[in-house]
Amino acid sequence: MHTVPEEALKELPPADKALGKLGRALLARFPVWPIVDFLRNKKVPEHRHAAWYMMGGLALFFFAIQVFTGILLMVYYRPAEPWQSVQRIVMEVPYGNLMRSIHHWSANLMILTLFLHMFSAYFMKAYRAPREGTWLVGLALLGLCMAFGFSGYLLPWDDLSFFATNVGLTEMEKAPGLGPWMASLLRGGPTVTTDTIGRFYVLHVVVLPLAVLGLIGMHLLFVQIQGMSEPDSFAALPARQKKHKKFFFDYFASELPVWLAAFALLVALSAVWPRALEAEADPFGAAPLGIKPEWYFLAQYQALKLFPGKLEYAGMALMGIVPLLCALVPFFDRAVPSDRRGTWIERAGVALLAGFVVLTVWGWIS
Amino acid sequence: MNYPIWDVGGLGAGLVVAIIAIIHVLISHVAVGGGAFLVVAEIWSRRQPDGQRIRDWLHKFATFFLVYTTVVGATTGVGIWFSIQLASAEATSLLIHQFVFAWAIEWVFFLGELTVLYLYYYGFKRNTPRMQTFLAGAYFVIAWGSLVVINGILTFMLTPGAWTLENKDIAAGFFNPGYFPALLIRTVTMFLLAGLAGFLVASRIRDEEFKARIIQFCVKWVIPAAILVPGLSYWYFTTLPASTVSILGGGTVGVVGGTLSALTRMAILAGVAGTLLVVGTLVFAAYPKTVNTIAAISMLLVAQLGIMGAEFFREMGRKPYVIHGVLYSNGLWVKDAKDPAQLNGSYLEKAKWRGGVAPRTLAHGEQVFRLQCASCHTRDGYRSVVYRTRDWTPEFGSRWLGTMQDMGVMPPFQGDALDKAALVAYVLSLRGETVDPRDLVRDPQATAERNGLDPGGRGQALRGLEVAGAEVAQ
Amino acid sequence: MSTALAMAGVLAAATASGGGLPIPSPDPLGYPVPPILLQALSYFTLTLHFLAMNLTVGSVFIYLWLRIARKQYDDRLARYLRDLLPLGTSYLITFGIPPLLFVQVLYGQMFYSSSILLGFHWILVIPLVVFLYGVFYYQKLVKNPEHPGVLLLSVLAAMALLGVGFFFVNNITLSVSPEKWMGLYAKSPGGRNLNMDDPTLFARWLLILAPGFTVAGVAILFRGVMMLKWGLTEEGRHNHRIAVSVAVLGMVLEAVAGVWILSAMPDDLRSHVTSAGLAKLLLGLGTAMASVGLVLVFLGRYKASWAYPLMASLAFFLALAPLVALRDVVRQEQLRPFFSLAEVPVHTQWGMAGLFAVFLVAGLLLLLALHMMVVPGLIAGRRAELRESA
Repeated sequence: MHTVPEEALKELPPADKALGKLGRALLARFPVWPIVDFLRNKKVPEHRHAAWYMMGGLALFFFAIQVFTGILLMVYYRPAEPWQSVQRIVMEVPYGNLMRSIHHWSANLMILTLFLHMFSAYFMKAYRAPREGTWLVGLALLGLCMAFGFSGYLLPWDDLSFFATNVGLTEMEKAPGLGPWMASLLRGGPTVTTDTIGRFYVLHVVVLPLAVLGLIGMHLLFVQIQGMSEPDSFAALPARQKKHKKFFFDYFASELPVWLAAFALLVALSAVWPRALEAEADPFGAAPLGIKPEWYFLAQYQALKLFPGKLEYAGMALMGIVPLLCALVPFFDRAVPSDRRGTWIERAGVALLAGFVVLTVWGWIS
Repeated sequence: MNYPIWDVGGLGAGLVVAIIAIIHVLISHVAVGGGAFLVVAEIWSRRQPDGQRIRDWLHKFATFFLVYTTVVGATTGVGIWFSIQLASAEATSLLIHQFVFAWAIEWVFFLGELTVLYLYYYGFKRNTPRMQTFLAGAYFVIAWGSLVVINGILTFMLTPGAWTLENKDIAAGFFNPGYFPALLIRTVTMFLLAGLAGFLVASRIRDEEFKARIIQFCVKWVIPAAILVPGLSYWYFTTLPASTVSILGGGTVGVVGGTLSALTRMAILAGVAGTLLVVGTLVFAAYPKTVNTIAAISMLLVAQLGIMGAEFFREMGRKPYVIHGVLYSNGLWVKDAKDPAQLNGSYLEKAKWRGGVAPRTLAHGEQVFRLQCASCHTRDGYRSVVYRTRDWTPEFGSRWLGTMQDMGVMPPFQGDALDKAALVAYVLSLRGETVDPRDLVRDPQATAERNGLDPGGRGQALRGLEVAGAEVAQ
Repeated sequence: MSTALAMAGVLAAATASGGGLPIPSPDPLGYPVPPILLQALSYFTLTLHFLAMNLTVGSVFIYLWLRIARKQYDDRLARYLRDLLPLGTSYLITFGIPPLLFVQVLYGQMFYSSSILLGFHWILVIPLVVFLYGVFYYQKLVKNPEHPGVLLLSVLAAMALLGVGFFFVNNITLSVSPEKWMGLYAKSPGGRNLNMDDPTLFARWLLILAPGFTVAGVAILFRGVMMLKWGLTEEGRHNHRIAVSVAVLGMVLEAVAGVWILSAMPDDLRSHVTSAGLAKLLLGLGTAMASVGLVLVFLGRYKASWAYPLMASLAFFLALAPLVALRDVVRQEQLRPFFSLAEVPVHTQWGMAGLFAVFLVAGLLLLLALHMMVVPGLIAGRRAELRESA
């Protein structure tokens, strides 16, 4: 049998107490002490950018809410009769309407915090070596969460979701190369039908969750191995002036109230603006006026509109190039503070952010 | 029908009131509870060996308190008053005429509150300790006095008790069934909010040991609410009108079972926020050194959302009245609604603000919409009519309007078949459907019989009402 | 939404033919005490509101001017006015409450209607007041009030203050013009209206704002006396000079506004104001007391005595009160075709009125006693501070 390390024995209650006995027995069978010890000594730098460093945790919190409410919704959701089952969730299932609304709002806030997380990591240059891997996994997570949003949006099968999905897939189809093939794979045929629901449902509740859980694991593991990145202003401080907080529980205790506020916000949004269920989708009916994708696709949608006719391919290319450039940034920025490239990357980031905001607002009001 | 309707696009006048009121309620409660906080902190600081240091911190608290409660608190209080006269002039007029001297007395308290606070603040470094403690105490008593007054008027609207339009019994209306539970809930909530404001000011302290002491002091202010609010809320619920309780319990009566009415959702929000506040305070108590500004603001945000739930609850609990059992939200007096001749006569002719609208036109329908619906509903924004009527047919709409009061959350329709037809045509036109109102009134009797329905519309299934999720701004 | 807009157009077209005037009926509960009592309370508190409002308006403009002029002693006077601004604002709000309460009791059906028609601008008053009030505290508490950004904020706050006054004048004038209501309602049911075609609008705006310089002048006179008493003779004289000039400026502007408003009035109304005994009496009383006040401000430069600023304050209060009453006389005259106070039944609430009187007297006595205990110490403290800095 494994022996319990000396340091662990010191930390545990005396051997004659029940808790002490249990702890020793467990540690003897499962020698996880080095991991526990590692986490206990994890430290977080203290600086005035703390708010931006909370976004990742906040997104994780929203993801946890998504898993919880998603499981509850799955209990009643039937892909074979999508609209009727959602109608039942809304009308009959106790608290079903509340859970659905929280699921909706939490999805939106998760994607919003992910955007904030990405841009703050970008501007604080947290992607630089050795954290290229964390950055790439993070980008992949953002993409997957947007796919979550896209696939989940169709599931209620009401007028709005049907036509909005149609618009999205039509755009995808126009992409050269894999576009038509991808669109047809997702649709399960030439048009959006209830077969599409099956595909989107499986994506939404099996494929994407597994992928996202795996990538979140990697993302967090990287952060643990490499430690928290430090903003330049903090890294430049002499070692004496660098203040750190212990992650457990000092830092955690200061972040917890933010999660509480996020939860209260979800309940408040769901109470005031519960998610609506429009009339059941009628594939042969007229599309409702002003069909638009969800806000996190609006910028792309609006950008594509700027390239009419033959230029559309240029727009498509842009859609592909921008994420690719984002992914390449860590390999371009050589992590020397005085490097000119750093300033260029900052300017590009500001342009991207401004473009994203302007296009989103433009798409919203037009 | 006495007053014009303030037609505010997608928000609706009611939501304008709510937005101002929700901000005000948080601050005004901090303003009263903070008074008690100042007294206790004055006494406490003088008993500590490092009293001067605590008093320096208290001066920061007082500065924050003064600026926050006067600049945002007092002004939004006036703002509520400005907005209610726009949203519901009829009800505001009734309240003002019944309670003018109560409000005047409350004003004396305001004047006292403000002046004493200035004497306290500007004398912070010069007044004797006894004078400072006395001023803080006087401030608290006077500020709480303003609550004692306004609480009577607020609770009156939901539970007017033995007051009637005829007896005008001001004592019965003021000390109504809901008065005391509401007063106590608000009082303990004030202490809680003072503690939360204390967290915020304390979070800026650099010295961690000192910060921990102040945080622990603030934590104690949350305790009374944490213990008493559940019991007091139960007491408060027992005073609610039966109609409110039935909406709260089972969704909207007669529509769909098991769903959550807007009222229930608001109660849930208030309960959830209250629980989260207790959890957060426990975290602060356990790790007082870790409290930072973001955490403290988060707690205030939770409190703000909880107050939003509670105040929305109080407002929505009155549905469909603005003064329970006396005046409907759209300005229809219950006494007038009881008179069928009055109620079912042509509405357009009675409406003062109709201008030169010709009957049986869409403009006629819009007039009816404005005067009867727009106090609560927008066309296609908050509490959207377009969403609520999304599966209406013209016939169904006319029949539904005739029975909507049976659900318990809508007032009766005022007007004759013509007014109804005009309204239905207008509402459907908002969705882009073209209906000539004249087609709807040709022969309702025959239409109803053809469909095997009662021409009066009684006993029909009520679709498209306030079903769960219908409060949506789409 | 586009349909709704189209509907508004339909309505506007339909309105041209008109119905009767849409004047709401008075509240069924009636008056809680005879209206004369409500009027008296309203005159008293409205006068206090105007004084606080004038103090704030005058102070902010003189403050800005001193910040730009920057002669000797200007800075210290500017700081004094800057410290007065938040106080002035809080009392202008607080004293604004009762007159607004009583106007709603007396003329609710007129006042609510016009408020709704101006709804957008009326509710805009609230964010404007929050903004200017916040700026007044900010410029007092901020570490570097000399910063141009802070000065810009002060200018914006001054403009916001003027804007609030403008919206009030709009509402009050519209509340006596029911013949315009239906047209405005058709034009903008969301209340984006203003009563711009009222001939007396701008004159009234000037009339309520102009005494600001005079009232701020009295506030400066207080400081001048204080300086003289503390032996800072030169600074005291400097303050006096400014006090006299701004007080005169205010009264000149007020006279201009008075003549302007009389000439802009419809003829029948003007003849009522200039011929009716009561109106003539009030006008004469106001003018006389204002002249007395001005003389007192002049005299204040010869002797360091609190009596002058105190007496001048009283004189201007007594000058303003008759004008406030005159304002109501004019309103009643304008409303005569539609409504008179005598139509409304009185259901007395003497008990509540008595209770209010008790609270009012007790409250004022308490505040007076507290002032006498606290304020002398504060003034002494300020004096010590000033000596240290000098």
